[in-house]
Amino acid sequence: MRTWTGGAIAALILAAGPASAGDRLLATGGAQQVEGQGGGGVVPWALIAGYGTRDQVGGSAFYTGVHTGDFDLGAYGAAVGIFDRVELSYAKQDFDAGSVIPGLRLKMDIVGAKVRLFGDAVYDQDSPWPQVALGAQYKRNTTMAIPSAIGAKSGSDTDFYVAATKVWLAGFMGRNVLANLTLRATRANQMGLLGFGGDRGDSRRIEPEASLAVLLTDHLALGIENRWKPDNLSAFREDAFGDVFLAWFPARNVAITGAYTSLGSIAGKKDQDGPYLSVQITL
Amino acid sequence: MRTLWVPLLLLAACAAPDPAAKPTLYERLGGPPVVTRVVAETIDRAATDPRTSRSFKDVKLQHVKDMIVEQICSLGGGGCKYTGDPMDKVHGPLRIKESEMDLLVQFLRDALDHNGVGQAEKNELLRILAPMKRDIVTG
Repeated sequence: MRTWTGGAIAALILAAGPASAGDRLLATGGAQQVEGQGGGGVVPWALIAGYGTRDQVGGSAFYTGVHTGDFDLGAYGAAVGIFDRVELSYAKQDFDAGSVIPGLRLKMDIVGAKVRLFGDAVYDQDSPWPQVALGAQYKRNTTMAIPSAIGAKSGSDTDFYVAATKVWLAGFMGRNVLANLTLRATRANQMGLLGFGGDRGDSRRIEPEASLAVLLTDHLALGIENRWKPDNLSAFREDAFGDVFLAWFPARNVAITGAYTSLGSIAGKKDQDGPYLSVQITL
Repeated sequence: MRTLWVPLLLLAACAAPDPAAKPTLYERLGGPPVVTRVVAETIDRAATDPRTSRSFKDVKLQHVKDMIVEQICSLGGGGCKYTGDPMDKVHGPLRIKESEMDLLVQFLRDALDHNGVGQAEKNELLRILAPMKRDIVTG
């Protein structure tokens, strides 16, 4: 079912493609992260999704699967980049937590918006300033019975963040280097899959999220990420997310990202590590 | 007195260019034969691709190529002097769009790859050229 919906979104974007495909440089839309916004695997960046330049509309659609020892996460969605200035996105997450309670699935809808404030991550090579964007993610957990039972305070909330992204051409041994720092105000538990707020805290905290990548070739990026998170529920303590990723752009419109994720303790299960695979179509 | 001279000599050694020890970017790109071919391929493609060709109508393509080679030679330490007009003056009336700029960069990257220029040399050249976007893109 979820692959059908994801496919339908992808088909919609493809159908709109010829009229609205963008001409921005390869890979500069990043890969849609697990909440559906332009970025790395788990971190939203200041780059606007898709290939649209300042006079074009672009977009992308993605499907991501993560498998850890005890859980499976599926995420899919689409983003539209308008004039390389505004990004709007919609994503769904489906978290299989059958190892905690047989048959338990936690689901979330995420509506994202991002506005690029200033800077050009790629072209401003004579300036130390990054590209900076402000973003928001409105999240609605549609399966709140369990999160409420373990102490989550609410089923929907909005994260706000500021993201700074910079590319250094020939920055390391002749290779292009990308760095991103995002500061997110959030009270989400496991991104919101376990609701928002808890007995240990119910107000937004600023959490850093960082990505560092080196482009081995124009088509292949190797990187690491770390995303710190609140820890609001004493019943289910949580850790930072980390990952090591390899993003491959075999063609201009296709991105395939493989990663190894370290997601820490989730819903009482410790040391949740495992593979991550994401496929994206970019226009 | 001698103790004063030692750091001065060291400073001089650092400042003095030593072409034998470190080839210039222009040399590493392959010098005149490779750069000339790369620029010719890039401009010929840009002049024929319908997405970028409008800016090359009624333009002497050979002159454009010569000026770009001269500029890359100058910026890449090849010892040339750029004799063309400033970038903003050349491009201003054309109202170049960002999409046209990005396509030209992609054509340049493809031509560099096609002529066997290394990843590092390609990226270093793009780093030097990138800030010109501010003078080129006005559309």
